[in-house]
Amino acid sequence: MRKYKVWFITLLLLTACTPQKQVLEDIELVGTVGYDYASKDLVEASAACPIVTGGSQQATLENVVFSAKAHTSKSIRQELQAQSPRPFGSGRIGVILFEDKLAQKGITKIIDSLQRDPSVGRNIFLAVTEGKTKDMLTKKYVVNDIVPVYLKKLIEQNINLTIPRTNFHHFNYSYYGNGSDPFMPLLAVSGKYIKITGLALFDHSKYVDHISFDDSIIFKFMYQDFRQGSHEFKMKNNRYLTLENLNSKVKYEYKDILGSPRLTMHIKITGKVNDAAGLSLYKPQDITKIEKTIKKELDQDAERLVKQFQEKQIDPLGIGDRARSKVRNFTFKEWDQKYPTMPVTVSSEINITQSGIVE
Amino acid sequence: MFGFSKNKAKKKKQQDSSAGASGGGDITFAELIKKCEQSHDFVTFKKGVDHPFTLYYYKAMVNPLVIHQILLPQLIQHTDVSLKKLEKLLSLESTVYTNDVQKIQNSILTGSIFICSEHEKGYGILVPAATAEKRTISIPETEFSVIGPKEAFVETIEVNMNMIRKRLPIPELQIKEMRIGKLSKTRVAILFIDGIANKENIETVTQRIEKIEYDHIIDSNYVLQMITDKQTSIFPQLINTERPDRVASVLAEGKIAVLVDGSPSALTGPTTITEFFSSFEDYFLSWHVASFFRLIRLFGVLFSVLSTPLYVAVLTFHYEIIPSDLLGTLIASRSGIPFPPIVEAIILELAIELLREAGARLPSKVGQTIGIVGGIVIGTAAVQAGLTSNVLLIIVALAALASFTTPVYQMSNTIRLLRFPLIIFAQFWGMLGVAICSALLLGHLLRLTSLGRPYLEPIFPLRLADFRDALFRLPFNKQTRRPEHLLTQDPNRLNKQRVNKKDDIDE
Amino acid sequence: MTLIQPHEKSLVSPYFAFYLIVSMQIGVGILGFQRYIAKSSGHDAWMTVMIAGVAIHALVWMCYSLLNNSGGDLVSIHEQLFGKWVGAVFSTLFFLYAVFLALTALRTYIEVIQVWMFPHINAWGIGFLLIFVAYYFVSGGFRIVTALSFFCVLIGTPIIFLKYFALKNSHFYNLLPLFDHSLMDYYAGTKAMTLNFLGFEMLLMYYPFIKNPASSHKWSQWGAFFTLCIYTLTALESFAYYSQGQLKHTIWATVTIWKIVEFPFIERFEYIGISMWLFVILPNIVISIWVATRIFKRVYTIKQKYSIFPIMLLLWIGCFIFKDRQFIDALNTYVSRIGYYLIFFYIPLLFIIQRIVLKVKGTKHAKI
Repeated sequence: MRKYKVWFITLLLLTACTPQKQVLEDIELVGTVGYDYASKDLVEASAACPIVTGGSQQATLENVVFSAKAHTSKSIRQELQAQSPRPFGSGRIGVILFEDKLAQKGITKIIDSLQRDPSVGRNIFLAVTEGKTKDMLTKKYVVNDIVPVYLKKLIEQNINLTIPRTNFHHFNYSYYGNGSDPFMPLLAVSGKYIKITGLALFDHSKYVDHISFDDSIIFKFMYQDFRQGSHEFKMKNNRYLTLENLNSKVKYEYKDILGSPRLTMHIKITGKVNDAAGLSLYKPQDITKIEKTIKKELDQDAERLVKQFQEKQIDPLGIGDRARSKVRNFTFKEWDQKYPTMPVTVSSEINITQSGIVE
Repeated sequence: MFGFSKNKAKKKKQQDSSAGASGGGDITFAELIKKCEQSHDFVTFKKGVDHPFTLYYYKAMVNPLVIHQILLPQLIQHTDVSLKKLEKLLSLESTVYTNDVQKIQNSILTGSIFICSEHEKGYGILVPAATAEKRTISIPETEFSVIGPKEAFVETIEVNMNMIRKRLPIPELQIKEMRIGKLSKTRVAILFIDGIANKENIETVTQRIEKIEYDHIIDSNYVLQMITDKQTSIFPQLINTERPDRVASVLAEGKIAVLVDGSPSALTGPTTITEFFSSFEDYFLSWHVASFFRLIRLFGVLFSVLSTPLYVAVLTFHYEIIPSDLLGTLIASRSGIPFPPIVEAIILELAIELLREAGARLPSKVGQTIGIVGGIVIGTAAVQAGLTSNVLLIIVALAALASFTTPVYQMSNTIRLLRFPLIIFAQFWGMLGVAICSALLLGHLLRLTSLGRPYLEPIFPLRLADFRDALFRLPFNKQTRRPEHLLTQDPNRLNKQRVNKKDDIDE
Repeated sequence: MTLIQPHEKSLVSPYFAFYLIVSMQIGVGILGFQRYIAKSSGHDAWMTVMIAGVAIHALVWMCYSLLNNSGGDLVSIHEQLFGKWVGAVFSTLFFLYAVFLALTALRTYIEVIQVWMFPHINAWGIGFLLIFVAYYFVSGGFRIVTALSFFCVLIGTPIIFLKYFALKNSHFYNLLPLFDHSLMDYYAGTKAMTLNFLGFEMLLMYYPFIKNPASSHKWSQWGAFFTLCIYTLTALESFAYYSQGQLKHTIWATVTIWKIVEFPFIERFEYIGISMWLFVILPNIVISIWVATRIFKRVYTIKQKYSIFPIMLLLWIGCFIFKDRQFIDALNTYVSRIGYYLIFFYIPLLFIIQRIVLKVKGTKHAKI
């Protein structure tokens, strides 16, 4: 009998020290959070939360946006809480937005607090918006999805196509690591849509420069190996041609001769041409011609981009990181001095294998 | 506390009752007859007043044909023979000439006729004339198989033994018989194949059965619970089967079977946990199909045990885990439901148990209706009324379905019960609670034994050879050896070289 | 001296030495060791894992040599070499070490739970629950303890395959150039790596419980090799996945990698991973407690079923005392340091002393 009493009391004790519950429907799940510049040291945060209306039978998701201003991100949470019927949960954040004005001032504090929160995932996207994030989150769009879902899917599918691979982990990788600088997609509201307008480039924690959406894929060719996406190239006589990428590979050839570094990027693209706009595509010499033109244009564009980065002293491609892996006793102090003036050449190789199903 | 004195009182009572039941240890014949005559179905019969022979028997226990066609004709013809002579005249086997009162009592009670002569005081002949009503052999119900033999055990031990022996017509198949139960004096038979079965196992079973102290043994399940290794465990540690073919097959593997008179099922052991998830039909199907079904069943068990606890854990603590595409559906199905996930889960689980229990208690035709009414009408109504979420309803129904795939009835009950502690742990500590409860469960399973042999074999201790007939079933030509965990005296089933000899091409 | 031979029933097959070694060596350390080893030797630190691992192979060999020569366990070795009283003191120190090893595993796992899953949970509450689970296994005897370590490897190994998800986001050039650090850096890294490899020395106590124990040597070596592979793979993967600067900020590098794992039916794996890790942590605690009770039985002849309660109480009190990150870090550091001296100085020392003693005796008796 005594044994059972002991067990009973132990069980009671144990049930008393259980963790705090977070029942799914009793949590305000934040889908997207946006940070705006309010004043010199005030940040305004907007949290877009999907909310179910219409009961369990004809449930529809709706987007509700809470926003509040505060100095630190923890106190923002408190301010936001003051408006919400349920406690906020940050575990479902899919996209984090920063207003361009705020990003230019630096986002160290916000990143630091997001990084520490164990419930924030690493597979989530960061992006810079042209204009207030609050406006972007509250606006109605023609797309069927609610804004947080729309944003997530938008970035996700463009990462498959045009813009380079990026998420919170990659951001952290460059943000904390030496020898590379982070970048994010740049978003803007355009009529009844949200549009990716390019890439926002950071110098550590500050947004300093951007490249256009068209240039993003050139950046992507230099940044990673991938298998999708397409780009339009200008041919002679104002004709245009679209190259669809089937497989692209990039290799960095870094040489450090007597303290003067030099870099050559080898890009190898296998692709097909779909939209040739009147160019003949069945003669081998024509194809070689086209390949040559594309190569020339791509090399020029790529070198132009690298030059732009060097001028701004930013390294979104992670050239420094790659250089480190090639050189013994590498110091970033030296590298930072050499980087802006380092000669970089791009040498691409285009291989057109298909041209659609008709000749 | 007062527990001690209570126990003592109980013990005393037991002694009294046992004295009453088995009394007559040293009573005289006259006293015995006097005691028996108090019951109205006891017959004392004398053909005429001056006829020397008297018959004593229980009307309900003897076959009247024996009296009419064998005993009476002889008794009428020969009125002045000695008992010894009479015994020779009777065309019956195994009659006994005795004066042992104890023996007389036992025999009369199990259906013998006692013939007494006026000339030989105290002595008499015991004529076995027991009649037993038996049911015809029917098809197995709890262990039904689509193909294969359709015989199931019946309540008569002789018929059951016959069904086993005709499948194993060898002298090595040996039967040890004993009677247990103070009141019921039930016949219990231990079956094994001499030369294959491990001697230690036979010894264990015999000892445990001999040790049984109980007043009545009605069914083999009584014996199962009494000889099982750990009676506090929720897991069955011996298999209870109603298929004679299954018993014959496991006897050939080197296991031991126990038959109990009056019970339409046999016990087999030692067994391992994997055996509870193998249906005997697996051996009738091709090995690929059988292996696939076994894996399905295993998956079914895992699903059945874990799905509701995980639902509770995820919805109560870890909303982060839910996939994005499912999140909307889940929130929608949960919105407007007045109970927390745990209450919802327990209500639905209990409802399913209620349905199952109602279906099991009612006659089969009504039972089916209950299933439909419960499953469809109540389920849909509960969801529409917003009392439970439809996602959970699907999970619970599937989990119940999965638990029914377990071929052994006792095990499928165990599996349905197992999820309740898991649900409670999930409610308190989420995923971690599920892990902790699983760890405790693992610890429990590891401690279990079946007739002293490890229960989790072949997983622990790891015996790769025994996997050939555990989670999956390899073809018969690979089943060359008997299971290692049985420690059989003859580990080889067949000549491996002869079976697996490969002819050359075109030979 | 009296050598209490364990009962035939509680002996385990030699191949279980593999699981016992692996399950004891892999524990809470693997969830966040990358940061510590990278501190000194940066991206080359994966080599220090291999160096430490190779050293462990040698030490396992030494342990077997010690045990084979004495025919008993650590307590009997102590008694043979130092006499009854001094031997008892050394054995008691080893007992304390085992208790602290259990406490480190327990408290660090609770911290992982507190940081990643339930920030508000009481350490003593969940500690009590885990200690109870450990008790359930220890009280089952050595066979159950071995079985647990077997299941630990069975359940823990599939988690390695999750590294595939991180592969897609990895930069393998991070690992280059090779040998870019000084020897002292490697030494410091190796030293930091020791805590993770600790645990194999429990072999000194459970050795008599292995059937035909000398033949389990190869299994123990395979076990040490398996651990070495897992740690090396994890280190390589982490260094490719994180930039060095990022790794400095990441306390639980392995758990943070799990964040990237995504299945169609599971969005975030770390919650499941940490829960499943219970099965990997439990053998650490259980084997340590078992060893502690075993030492008590051998030295003071106190029954294991009694000595387990004060040990559990000690562990529970430990949950109260070590409250915050600094304390736990200090606990880890000190246990690591003690373990380092134990395996790299004490075991070789014992080995040498035994050799000398045997030589001296050998010349006396011509045959041992």
